[in-house]
Amino acid sequence: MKLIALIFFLTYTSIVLGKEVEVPKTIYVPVFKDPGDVDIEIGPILIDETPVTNKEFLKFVKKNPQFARSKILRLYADNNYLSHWISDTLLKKNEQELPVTYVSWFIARKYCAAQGKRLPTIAEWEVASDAQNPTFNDKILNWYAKPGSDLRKVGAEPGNKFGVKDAHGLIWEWVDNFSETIMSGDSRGGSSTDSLFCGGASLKAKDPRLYATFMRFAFRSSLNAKYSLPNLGFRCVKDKGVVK
Amino acid sequence: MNLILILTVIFSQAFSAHHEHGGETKAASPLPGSSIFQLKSEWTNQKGGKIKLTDLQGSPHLVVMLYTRCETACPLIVADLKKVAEDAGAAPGKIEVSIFSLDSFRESAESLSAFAAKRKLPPFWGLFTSDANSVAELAASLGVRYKRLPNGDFIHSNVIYFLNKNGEIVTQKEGIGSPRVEFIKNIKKNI
Repeated sequence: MKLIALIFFLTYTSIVLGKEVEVPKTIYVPVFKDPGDVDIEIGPILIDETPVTNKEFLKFVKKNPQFARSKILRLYADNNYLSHWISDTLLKKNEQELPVTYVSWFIARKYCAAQGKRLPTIAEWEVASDAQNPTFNDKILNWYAKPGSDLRKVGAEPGNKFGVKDAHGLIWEWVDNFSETIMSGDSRGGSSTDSLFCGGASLKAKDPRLYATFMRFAFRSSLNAKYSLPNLGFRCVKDKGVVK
Repeated sequence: MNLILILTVIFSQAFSAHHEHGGETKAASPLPGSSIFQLKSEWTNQKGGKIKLTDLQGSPHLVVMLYTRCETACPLIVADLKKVAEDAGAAPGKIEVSIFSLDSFRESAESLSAFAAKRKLPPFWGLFTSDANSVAELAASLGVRYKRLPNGDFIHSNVIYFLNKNGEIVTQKEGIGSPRVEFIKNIKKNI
């Protein structure tokens, strides 16, 4: 009886609260280093198993109506914010379990903070997604080659070695310190695509693994905190052992 | 019938907007939605005084973000900012000048005040420091990109922003030593 109660409790919490998986203490070796950069120790952290869904984000918006599509300050999000929803608080039925997209960095941060969590750092995301694992190369590059592919439900595919799901091949994800990615000397010089192509030409990446990482860094360097994009979502993390 | 329905919706939304008092929205405020002054963060100035970004509304501002321990680019950007301030006619109440520190770890009222003295900054200029979260949000709102290195130094974009009295970014000057003429012209058009 106790066992049944426990199983029920575990299932219930994982469905209602969203499941987290642990990423142990790891040394992250940055692929692109600025002068003065060193390896970074991350973790242990608990990271959301899957990206935040439309349904979960809707709950947050209902609790915090100032973040609804019609109320949001332009300072926090551009006018594409949640533009795929039917209205402020209405979703298409088949969108419930899709990862939430069209969300800005500001509001993704506020969502995580409301759960007692935060956005992952670049180092944490790169480690947790096991992005350097060569077995993901084809998958990553194939997906990067097809911008705007259709979204699918989160959690449909098996997780990586940490149990993290959907890190590659579903959406891009916000990281807290995306603005650290400064691809050209002055990131504000020229449009984002300029700096992307200049960087691409100068890097001359021959290693496809490096190329996939480069694509992510180029993408992050093109972002602005207000951007709300069709294929950009997020997940949250918290430090392990920290109760807020 | 449809018209009545639409009007009802419009009125009810206008009505509810007036009654909104969520932590983040300021429906009663005249500030535009894109105003930097909508940020709620609190900052400490070089005299140890506390200000909120909202307190800055009412005057146009020249704004830069840097850190005072910086020994390479920052003296140059401050020199640039002095020239811009002079050409634009910065003065108390007319165009204010505000420097926000990127270094939430090591900056203090004392280090700001020492920097102001060392760089001989006009006394009406404001220098401000705050916590990492407030710095991140202000930088993100302005579009300043920065990275803290393990030795405590920062890599950051060197941009001078001009905000109108409502806190909207009107124009910006990118890079150290870039031509001032166009920037000053834009400022004067928008005072």
